[in-house]
Amino acid sequence: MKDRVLLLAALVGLGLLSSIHAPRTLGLALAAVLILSGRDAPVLLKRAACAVLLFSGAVSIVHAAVVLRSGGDPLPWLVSTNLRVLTMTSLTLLVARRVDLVQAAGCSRPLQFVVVLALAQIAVLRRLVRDFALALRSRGVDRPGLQTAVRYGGAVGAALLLKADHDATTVTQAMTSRGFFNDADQG
Amino acid sequence: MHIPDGFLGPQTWLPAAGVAALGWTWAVRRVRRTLHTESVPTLGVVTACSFGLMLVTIPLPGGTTIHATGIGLLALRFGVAATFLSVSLVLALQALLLGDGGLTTLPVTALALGLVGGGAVVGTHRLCAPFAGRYAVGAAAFVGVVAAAFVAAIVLGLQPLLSHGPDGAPLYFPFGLRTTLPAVVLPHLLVGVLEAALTMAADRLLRHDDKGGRS
Repeated sequence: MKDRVLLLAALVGLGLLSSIHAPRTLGLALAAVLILSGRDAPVLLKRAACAVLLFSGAVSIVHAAVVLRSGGDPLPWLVSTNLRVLTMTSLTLLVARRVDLVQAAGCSRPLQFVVVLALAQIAVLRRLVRDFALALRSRGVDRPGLQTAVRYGGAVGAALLLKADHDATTVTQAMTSRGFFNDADQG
Repeated sequence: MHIPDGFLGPQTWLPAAGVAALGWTWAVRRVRRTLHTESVPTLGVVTACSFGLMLVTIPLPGGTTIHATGIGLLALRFGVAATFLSVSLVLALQALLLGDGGLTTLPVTALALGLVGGGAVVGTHRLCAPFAGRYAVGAAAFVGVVAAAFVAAIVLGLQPLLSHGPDGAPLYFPFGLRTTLPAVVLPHLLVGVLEAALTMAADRLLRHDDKGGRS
């Protein structure tokens, strides 16, 4: 229940932030998010900045160039938009740290099941991809070429897809044998 | 197509959230009616794979990013409703776990990718399957990606018209349709080709596994 309320409160907060344009208010909101995140504030800010850097950076640079070329001042848009984006992303990441996503999805057992399975599969895929990449690198003195990397990636991707599918089937069989789906059907 | 929070105004994301809520209600009902319990784990797996594919993104100067999506595979195996739910879940996880994309922009992205993209995949496959054979899978994935990119480009390009200050300066995403349509759609033609090849390979692999691996 607590997780669902936190998630809902964050959504309301994000909605409010999306309609704010005043840099001072946005700055105060960012400060509030960082204070709420406590000792994690530097890590959170860095993660949020890295997450939006590519998109915001590309749009900001092009927009600044266009406005400067037409003799305008790009600073107000750059400050308010980038502050808003950074604050909203920081708030989202803060909520993700404080909220148990599995508990938040507890309103529906099938949804909770898919969330648990997807999160578990994501963790497995990430670890396996890293292991395979390290294995490829360790086999040669030089870095593998693009063609080798693409071929290897394709083979690894196919193997991961089959493995994940097999794992998921095993999990379902285990949960079916424990009556999970009977309970879900009744609930 | 990961649009961060703060680039779409409430004039856009609030109506989109309303439409998406209706879509999610329809999708949940339809999935409950049509999807067997045994399909749920596969849905979880493809959701995870779609998550992985969407992580590899390239930013575009005119706005948004490009990446493979996995919607072709999802839509062909599970239908539009399950694709919409799965893509929505992937986007929510990416926003919460990685800060990639956003929660206020999620309805727009989910509608573009899951509903429009998924619908385009299924529709194209139905049209092409009688004469294109296995290439219909690739054609469907290609059209799905391009259709989703088209919707995202239109939504982004409408921002300066929908939300601007008294002086006409944009408050959210700053570029109009003249910029966003070529900047978003053209690179997605390339992504579409990649997605088509990937979907054909994965579909073949899963069909092979369905025939041999389970018996």
